[in-house]
Amino acid sequence: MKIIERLKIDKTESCGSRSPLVMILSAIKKIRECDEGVEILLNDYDWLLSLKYILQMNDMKLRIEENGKEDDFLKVKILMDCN
Amino acid sequence: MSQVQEQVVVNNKWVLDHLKDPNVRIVEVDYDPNTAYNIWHISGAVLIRWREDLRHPVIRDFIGPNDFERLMESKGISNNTTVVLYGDYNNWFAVYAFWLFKAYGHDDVRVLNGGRTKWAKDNLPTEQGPKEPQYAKGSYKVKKVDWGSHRAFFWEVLQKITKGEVGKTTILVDVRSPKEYTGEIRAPPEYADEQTQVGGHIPGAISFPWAQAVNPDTGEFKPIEELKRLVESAGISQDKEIITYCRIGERAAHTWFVLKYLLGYPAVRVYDGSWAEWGNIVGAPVKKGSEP
Repeated sequence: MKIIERLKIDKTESCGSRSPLVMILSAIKKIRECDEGVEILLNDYDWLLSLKYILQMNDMKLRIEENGKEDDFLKVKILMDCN
Repeated sequence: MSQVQEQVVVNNKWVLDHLKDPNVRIVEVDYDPNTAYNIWHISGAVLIRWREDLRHPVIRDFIGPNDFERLMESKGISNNTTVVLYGDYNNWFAVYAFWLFKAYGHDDVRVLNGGRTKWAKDNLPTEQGPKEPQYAKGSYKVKKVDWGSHRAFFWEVLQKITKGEVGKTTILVDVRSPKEYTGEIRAPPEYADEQTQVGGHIPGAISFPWAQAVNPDTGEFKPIEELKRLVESAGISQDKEIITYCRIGERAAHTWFVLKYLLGYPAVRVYDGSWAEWGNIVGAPVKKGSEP
């Protein structure tokens, strides 16, 4: 698995004109191959749920792998769904 | 929480119990609905857009009382409606809206503790997509406008500094991140339009980052005793007037809410011009570093 981008987004410092979700979406749009993924550390359940709905609603061929927590941040990987 | 605090903060169970209550309107207040309400929202909630609905369309200010009345009526809100606010970005803009509702004299307005974060964590029912429910038009009249006890203007803060009142009769509370306070950054790099000419803090201001007041996992307010201890140990005492500020006002409103409505401080105002104003004014005094 090749992680093509890593993001860490902290809700205590995110506000204003650039949404964390937009940053996440920009990153996952770069996933092109089955062995590519984006690793994200985030600390807001809202963003995780929103991301799940976005993938569903837009029928994106991506899946979310939840890998517990790291330093109180939720650790997730977004991967191409090649099954 | 005490009875007074329960009158301004509700939990998820309370909202679930009142989803069909015609006297209650659940309102999501978003800075960016496209990454919040339009993806998912609490069933039955209406949307208020921070920038488009509450901000003045031309100048840096809020909509006036007449436009506020029209907005409330369009959302099915009347003067006697219990309004419950929640929203994106840690409930910041929901609490900022609470501040505006109070300045416009709405009696019963409350905040959903934990907002979208806790609702999502608890896996509670949601509706997807931007479709907003329609309610019968409300009947709304702004009976009083009270900016005086809610808002501090630039010139008032400047006057308090020049008269030597800061630290004596007034406490300025800077609720931004430590890096913004010291002047290491003016705004996080991804927010190009919120950068200022200079970085630092208002001389005499105490640093009390807003996030200290919430549980980092759920976004809920910390228990009252813990809040009290944190605030007092930062030197924020209720025998003085308190003025909170941040960069554009939303985090300052959050701490204002904690001090005024959860801890019962008698005199707390928001300097909503905040650093986006102060850091751009020619000649305004600025202090860099970690000391007030």
